[in-house]
Amino acid sequence: MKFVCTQENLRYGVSLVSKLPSRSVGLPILNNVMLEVVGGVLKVSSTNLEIGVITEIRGKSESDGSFTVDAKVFSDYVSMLPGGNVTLELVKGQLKVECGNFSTKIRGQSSDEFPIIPRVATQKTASVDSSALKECLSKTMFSVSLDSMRPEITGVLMSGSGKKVVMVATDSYRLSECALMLSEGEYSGKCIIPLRALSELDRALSGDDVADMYVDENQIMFVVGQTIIISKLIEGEYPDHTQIIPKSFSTVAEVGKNDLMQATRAASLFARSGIYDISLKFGEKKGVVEVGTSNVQVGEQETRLDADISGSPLTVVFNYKYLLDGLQSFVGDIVVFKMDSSTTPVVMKSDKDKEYLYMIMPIKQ
Amino acid sequence: MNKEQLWQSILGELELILSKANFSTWFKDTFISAWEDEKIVVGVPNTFTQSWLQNKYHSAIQTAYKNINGNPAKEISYRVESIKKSTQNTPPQYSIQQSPDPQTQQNHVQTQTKPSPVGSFGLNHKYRFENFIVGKNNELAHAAAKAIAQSPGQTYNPFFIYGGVGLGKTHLLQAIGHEILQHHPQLKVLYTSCEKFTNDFVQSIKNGTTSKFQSYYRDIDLLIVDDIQFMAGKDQTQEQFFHTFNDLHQNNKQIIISSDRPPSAIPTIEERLKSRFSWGMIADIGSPDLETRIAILDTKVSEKNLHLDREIINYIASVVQTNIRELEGALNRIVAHLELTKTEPSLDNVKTILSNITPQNKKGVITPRQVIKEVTDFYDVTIDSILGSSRKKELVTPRQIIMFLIRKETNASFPNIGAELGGRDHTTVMHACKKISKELETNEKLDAEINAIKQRLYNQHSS
Repeated sequence: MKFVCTQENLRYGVSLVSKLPSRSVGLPILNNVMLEVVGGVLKVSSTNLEIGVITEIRGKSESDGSFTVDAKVFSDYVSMLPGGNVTLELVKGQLKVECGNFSTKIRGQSSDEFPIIPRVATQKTASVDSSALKECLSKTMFSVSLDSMRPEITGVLMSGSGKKVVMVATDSYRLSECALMLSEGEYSGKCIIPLRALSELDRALSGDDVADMYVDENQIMFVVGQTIIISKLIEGEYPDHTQIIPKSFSTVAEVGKNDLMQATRAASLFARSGIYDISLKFGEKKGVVEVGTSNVQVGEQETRLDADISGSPLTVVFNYKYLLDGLQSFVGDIVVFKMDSSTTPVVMKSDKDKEYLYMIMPIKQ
Repeated sequence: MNKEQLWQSILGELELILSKANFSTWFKDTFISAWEDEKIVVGVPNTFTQSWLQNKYHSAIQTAYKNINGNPAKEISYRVESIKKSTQNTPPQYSIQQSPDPQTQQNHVQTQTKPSPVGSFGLNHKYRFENFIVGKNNELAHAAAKAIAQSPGQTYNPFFIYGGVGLGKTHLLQAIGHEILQHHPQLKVLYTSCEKFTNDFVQSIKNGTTSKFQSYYRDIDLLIVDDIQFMAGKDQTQEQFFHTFNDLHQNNKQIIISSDRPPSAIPTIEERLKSRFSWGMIADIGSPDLETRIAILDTKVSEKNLHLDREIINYIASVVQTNIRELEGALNRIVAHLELTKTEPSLDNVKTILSNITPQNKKGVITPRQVIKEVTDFYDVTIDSILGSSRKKELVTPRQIIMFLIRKETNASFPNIGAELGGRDHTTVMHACKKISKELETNEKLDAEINAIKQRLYNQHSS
């Protein structure tokens, strides 16, 4: 195996695959990335047996072959190399890397034992604009639950009806829902994609490429430019989120996003640790939202913000972390709160962002 | 042979030729999903396994099949499927509203559990507030316990009780449990010992049911853990307990913990656990004073329908000083003795019966000389050097231990102890006693050493 490519290309390609390998598995070879020179390109791939990432790197191929080396060592080393051409060569069971006046030999394992990353057999399901997908991911991924006791909500639900696809994430305390139009093809059905696979996808999405999706019964595959991400789907029934989103509201408030974020951060310093509660009083004084909290040990705090409030006055107690997460995910300067009572979910929307909805379950007093 | 037996024997063959890591990685959760006419379909958990088996182990599986079945397989194919058992269980339906806050969670629990008869949840009927004697030593703990029983999860959370053995910690813990059940029969209460928690955890690791374990301990409204100090040194258990604790505390569930010493003095317990234990209310239970001991004996006597003279009760209470369990033991001993010998209780009787167990007798016989000899033997230093003026480290600690032990075991005065040890000042002795006592709270090794010395002292004395 011998291959020559630029350091930039190699570093970018390796950075896409090197985050996936994990240390804590029974099979040590899973810590490695596989380098394979075939058909004039270098393929680098990694897997954790649930998700696989493969990317192709352009360059000059001199002889075919394959090898595996430790993902972290290799990616750290490659990122440290000076620019210019890098030569990778397999010499006597070691990977020889040469670049400028740097030269190294990395020990590794033969690729015979490296898992074969399966391909999804079906035809292409749909294509979607990369930047739209990336934005949609950034609005949903943070809400995904990390609780392994409820595996069905440790991923993002993708539910499609023809051209429109809705991504939903929840950890049962808050929920994000973001809609997306497919640019080509149609998808009808539901699947739950693991968070981990989406963070790999998020890393690979860049520029104005188009992302292709291949969905089958158990697996999903994304193809973005030269990179392929394959993941199993999470089995199970996703909770029916549409019935939880309230339809009628007694209070609607429009608040400046940046001011509210500032006020929330200030109040968060006084929130009780472990509970993270801050209260928002909508319309108790006319046209004003009071953001405040009190804590016996630290003190109390209150910020008054002007707001456009209609309906009856209402006080709602939030977990400030959930509130901040939500506020940060909105584009536009105004956030609209729609509420019915202090114990029912609060819906947040933005005027600039019609397809996105964020919802928080208030803390009951 | 059925499908399961066939696959088990194929796995048996493969296990011999593959490395353990390979075998367990690739053949976990596999099974035969169809077998007819010498064709088998192997069910695999995911496509990674599917392609790996197809490409790497296909011939090995074929060979194994032939060895076991006699005939070669006509066709072996692989399909992604999950084992039947798991597909039959329809996944539980969740809605977002069920768990976000304590209020709804309570309702949710209520619907799941029928109000169970009092007496389950690991609680013992014997231990109730009505028969808990309050004295100066346990006023605070009792008041806090009462407050918690009134409004669990609201006032003091967590509640940490500590105190020596046999002073009523368990009684108080269980009394809270009973009281809460009486006022709020819908709440789920769990009383568990630290040991049971550890065992359950170990068992769940063994059976691969950690998530079941977690939900068992998290789906409750009141968790009582007795003797938490036994968690010392068990890192995994501590971590598990830490998460359980956080989860419950976050949902405003009451947590009550007991230990034989304050949180800060439990050795080898993670800092973050210690600080959490100290978060709510810490109350200690001390040794009962004479009046409390008499009151306790009075209740016990009337519980047992006995009649004992005031004199006798006073005597028992004055002899057994530190431990309520021993107090009850002494009473039981007297009752048994009187019943067996059919004699009327009198003060003289009682004195003879208790003479064996009164610790005072032991203490009187130990002399400062014996202590010095045992300690110097134990640490392998000469008596002369101990009595001398050298302040080398290997001499200082034994010297301080000697002072401490003489003080504890013989009740000699500080100046007296000083004189025994080559004319040292009484303040030196006081310092030594204070230092060792303090060190004992945290230093397990020292504790063990001193116990060993004590044992030698008393064994030698009795032999």
